[in-house]
Amino acid sequence: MAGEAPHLKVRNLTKSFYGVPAIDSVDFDLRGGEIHGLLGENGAGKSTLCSVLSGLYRPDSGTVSLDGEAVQFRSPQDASRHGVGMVYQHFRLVDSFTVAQNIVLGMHKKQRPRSMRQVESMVADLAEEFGLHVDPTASIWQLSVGEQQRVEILKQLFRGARILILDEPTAVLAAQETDRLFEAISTMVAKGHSVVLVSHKMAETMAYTDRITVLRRGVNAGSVTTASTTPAEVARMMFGDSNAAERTNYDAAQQVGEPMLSLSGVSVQGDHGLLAVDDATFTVRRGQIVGVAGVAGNGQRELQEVIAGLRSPVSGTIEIAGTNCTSAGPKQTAQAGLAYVPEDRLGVGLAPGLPLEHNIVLKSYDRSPHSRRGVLSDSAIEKTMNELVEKFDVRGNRSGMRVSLMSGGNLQKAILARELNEDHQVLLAAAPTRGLDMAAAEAVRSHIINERATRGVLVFSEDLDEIVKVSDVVLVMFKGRIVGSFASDELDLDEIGLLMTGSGAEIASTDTPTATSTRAGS
Amino acid sequence: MRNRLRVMPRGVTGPEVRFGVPLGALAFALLLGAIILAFAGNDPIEAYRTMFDSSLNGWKAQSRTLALATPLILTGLAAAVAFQMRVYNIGGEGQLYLGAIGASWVGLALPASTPTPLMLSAMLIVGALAGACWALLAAIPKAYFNADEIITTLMLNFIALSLMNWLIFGSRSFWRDPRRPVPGGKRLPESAIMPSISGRLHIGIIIAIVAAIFLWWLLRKTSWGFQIRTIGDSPRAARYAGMSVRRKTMAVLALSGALAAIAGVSEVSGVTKGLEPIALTSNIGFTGIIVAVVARSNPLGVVPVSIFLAAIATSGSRLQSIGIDVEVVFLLQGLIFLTVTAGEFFVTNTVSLAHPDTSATGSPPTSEIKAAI
Amino acid sequence: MPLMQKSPRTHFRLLTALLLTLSVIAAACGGSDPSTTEASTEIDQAAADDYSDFKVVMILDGSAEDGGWNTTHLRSGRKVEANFPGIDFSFVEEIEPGQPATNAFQDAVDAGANLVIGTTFYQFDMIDVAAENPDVYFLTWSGFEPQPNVGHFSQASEDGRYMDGIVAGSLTKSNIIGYPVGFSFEEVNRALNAFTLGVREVNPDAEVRAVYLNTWFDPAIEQQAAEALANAGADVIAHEVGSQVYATVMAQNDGYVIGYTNDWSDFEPEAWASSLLFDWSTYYIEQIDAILAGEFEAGMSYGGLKEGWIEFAPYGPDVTQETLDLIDERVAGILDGTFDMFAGPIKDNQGNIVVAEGETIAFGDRSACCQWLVEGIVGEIPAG
Repeated sequence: MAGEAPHLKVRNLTKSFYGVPAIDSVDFDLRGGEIHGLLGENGAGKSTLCSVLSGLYRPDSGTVSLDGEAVQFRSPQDASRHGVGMVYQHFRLVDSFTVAQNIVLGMHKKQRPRSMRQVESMVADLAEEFGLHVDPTASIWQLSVGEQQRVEILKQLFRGARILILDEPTAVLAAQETDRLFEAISTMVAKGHSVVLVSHKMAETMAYTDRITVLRRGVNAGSVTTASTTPAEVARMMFGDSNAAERTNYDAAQQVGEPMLSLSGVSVQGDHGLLAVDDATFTVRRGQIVGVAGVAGNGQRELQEVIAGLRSPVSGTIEIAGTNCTSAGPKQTAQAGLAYVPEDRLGVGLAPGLPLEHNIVLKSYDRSPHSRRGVLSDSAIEKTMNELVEKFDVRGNRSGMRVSLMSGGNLQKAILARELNEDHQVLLAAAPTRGLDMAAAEAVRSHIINERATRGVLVFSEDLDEIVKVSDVVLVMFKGRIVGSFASDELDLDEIGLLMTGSGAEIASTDTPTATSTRAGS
Repeated sequence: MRNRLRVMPRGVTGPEVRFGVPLGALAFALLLGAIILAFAGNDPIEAYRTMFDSSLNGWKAQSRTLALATPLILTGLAAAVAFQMRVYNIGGEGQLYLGAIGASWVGLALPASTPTPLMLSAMLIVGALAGACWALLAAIPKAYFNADEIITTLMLNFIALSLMNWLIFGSRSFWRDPRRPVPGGKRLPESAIMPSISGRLHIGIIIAIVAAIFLWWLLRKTSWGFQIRTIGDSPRAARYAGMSVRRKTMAVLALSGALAAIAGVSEVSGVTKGLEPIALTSNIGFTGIIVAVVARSNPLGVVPVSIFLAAIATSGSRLQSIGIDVEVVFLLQGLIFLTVTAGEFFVTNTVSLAHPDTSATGSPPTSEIKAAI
Repeated sequence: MPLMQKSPRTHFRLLTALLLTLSVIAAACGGSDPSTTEASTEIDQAAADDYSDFKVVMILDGSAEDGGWNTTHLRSGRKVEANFPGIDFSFVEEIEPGQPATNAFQDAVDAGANLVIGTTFYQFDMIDVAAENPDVYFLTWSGFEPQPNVGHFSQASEDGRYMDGIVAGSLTKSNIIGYPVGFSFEEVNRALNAFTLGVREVNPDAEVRAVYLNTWFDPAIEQQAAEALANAGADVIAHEVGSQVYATVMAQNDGYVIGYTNDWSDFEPEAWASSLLFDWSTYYIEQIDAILAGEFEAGMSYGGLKEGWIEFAPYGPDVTQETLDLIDERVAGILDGTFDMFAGPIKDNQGNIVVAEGETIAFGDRSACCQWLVEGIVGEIPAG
């Protein structure tokens, strides 16, 4: 059934948001009866491409053709009519409805059987046929996450999808459920369906797909046949060439001093009860930038939060500039000398609806000169704001304007201004340049590098180039573990890329955490 | 091509918009009201003159408007301070009853010879504490178990109402006057009555306005208020900045409860002069929520909104007495209030026709962007 | 009990007004018929005589068309109007106790009223206005605070309730009669006792189940109470909290409903049994006569059948002639003094003698009664 003619052919597809292209002249071919892995870092354009294919967005330019016929999907319903269905990572099901009700929800009366019993029996047949076992009469809230995912897939199959786009389907699944999912996917393919598997897990992509397309910064970084490629090659496509990354040129003779931030055996529970950070041990010293590389969702956020005091570790100890901050709150970690630029600027780093002056003193409002005996000094606050706006070149503010109306670069500069203006010993910066234009990113980066002169810095980024550019030591995180540690003079980007996608795990496991920290610290 | 309405927030609001839009809305409401009045067979000019005479024309009318506004300001502030932190205290009604119960207890328990300033202070303190404690019954579950305060405060309203009814109608309590043929509260001694400023207007209005200014100062000018505003805007940013959301939740709800309770103190001491469930159960607490929403939780905005609402409401019986049907009276009052407050939308937003092409491709709604990333 | 007759409690009736506005705007503005608006207050000015200088304003707390308490008062007002040709009678409705009531009293005085009638729980709301305007007279229901220009009045509802009890006792087949009320206090207990005595005169086996709702107005709770009573076998419901819910529930259960100054004979004709109706016009007219003659006497007036304060709504179709004859006999007995419902011995429902043989509760002492429930009532006065 796996015919030669491509089912879906995408040419020169471009989609921009606010003038910034999310995907740029992308070509993509999905052949009949294949499982096609779509890989890329966060923000590489995977979701945008899928959203265009499933009719959620209309492209700015470029063409999509289906079996040789040009198509333009006006809506997800329209895409569905053409046999393209998408299963989102976050399910779109109504908890109090039954499986069968959810499956026909939103379908036109003419397209679905009139009686719910009929729907139920059809769903049951479909489930049997594809091995997607679920009780059609059960309510959604009674189902496990894996079962809910099956409902989403059945929903698309019920509507006649021949092309299924699965957005990181295994992210929410346990190992056993993952196996069952891929069994079902094999059945679908055997019956002539095509599947796009969006992922950034190397192992499953290598194991289950027929071909792989890698997106990198909105462009197609290459399409390969899975059987004839290696994880290393795919990783290189995802994260770029070793030669592309240049070390930022700064004083190599920088003296490394005493520890500014030390973690020893730190484990953290994630939001779903699993260990999000597993036995992390490393040290950041004065005069050192330590970069943490990793694909998003591998425990970086939890690690940042535990350092900042927003979470408590289940085990291990954390020291900030000599102070034990293992069970400290955010206030104590700041007092101990931690400056923290969080990943989510508008959600965490700033109060978006309040003006800049409020946000500038978000951590110093209760101290002199900004307040005395609990009473704020508007003039002192304004003075601080004006000084920092000047010093950090924050632009676009108007008096009384909510800060969220400012651009990302200026927001990030404002956060940096606030954090660096505090008395601090170590800077923790998460995704500091994400989403910024070149100039702003460069400005932010130079502030971070300046910190190195007198303090310690811990940087998290999904952009491997950036990590390589600024770091003295690179740590790699995968599934909550620090799986690799490299000094700047022994960087191996291929190996880092493999470690980030989990395929090099066995290499790193020979490094004990203690050894890692020793190397990082030396 | 279809054109769509496009709503954009105004960046900066100038005085011509700030004051022009509400006045325009008022004119529009009056015009619409005139049509309805004429249709109902009434003389619009006479109706509007009556409204003006009974609410705003002269000190006597003004003082009665202010008297009616007094408890609304306080319950409006109670709702506003909670809304500032996005805590939805729907329990102003019950907290008001507790304030009335507490204050009347003090007024009846202390010797009648107690000097008025002392008596009133004690009533205010005990009343406010009673309301604050009542609010804490919802605040503690909210802070520790994230129990929805909308539901708990609402339930506490019913309990407070039952308690007050029981004290007067269901028992021979300390509050109940045994002499009365139909149950009612004991009359408070003269020393427990808020002194009159003019006619029915008592010093409760001063308490209310001072409370509004104090609350504005507390929220805008203190580090405590700084935290409240931060939490209200973004609890995650507040936590990141090291603020204790839990403690503030309890403090704000207690403060909110105390303010609503002071409305109860003011009513029981300045108006009903005894614990009178029938007169106290007049939705002052719920109306305060409307006031706070219209005033966009700004304490200083609560005062004019309450006065505006009271000015509209106070004309009811006069309008009836010139022969306007009670339904038409309600319609007219509601129309004016709704139109003027709806006009607020145009103070903060501009509305224009947008061409579908420009809106569809260039910039999708933010929700779409979030979905894409 | 006017408190019990309330329409939903929404003073700052703007809340209502807001909703009303929305609905009316949505319904494209029906307006109201001007002829009905004005017919009520228009009187034939040509017939005006001596009374045209006398202005009476009546203040109602609910809608004048509530089919109960307020309607009864307004009907009494109309009788006043008819009795004094040319008199300037007007009313305002939906005036909530508290500040709005005080303002309404003040507005009435400012408009030149000679007499203001407060028909509900306005005692405290009008004290100051009355004190400040000694030349204006006030009549207020259930008041008691003495003031020289204020008359208080309260109804001897037991005179009518006894007759309603006779109807209930003769209609019930299950011998279970429901009686939901808001709270327990003297006036309510007295009416309930009179009702039960009436029931037991014709049907000594019947019991009256008192249910205390602990609310003044809540149709949802009333509905629950009525259904619970129906499920427990009650086939007649009398009440003192008053919404039409009782009539509806009884109609659904093939039972009967007894009103409290409600005439629901058209609303649920099959279920309709009876209701006393208050007629305040006798009292109003007496007081106006006294004011005009310069002989007004402040203080409490208490009136029942004899005083002409009570009449009856049309009886329901299933009330037998025999029952009607008995009622006529009892009414006549009260009028000529040969029948006294409170003549001893009376036992309370704990078995204690509360009125001994040969004793009674004199008419003038009745308003202090009762702190007990008569034999035949299932239910207790809530502790407190």
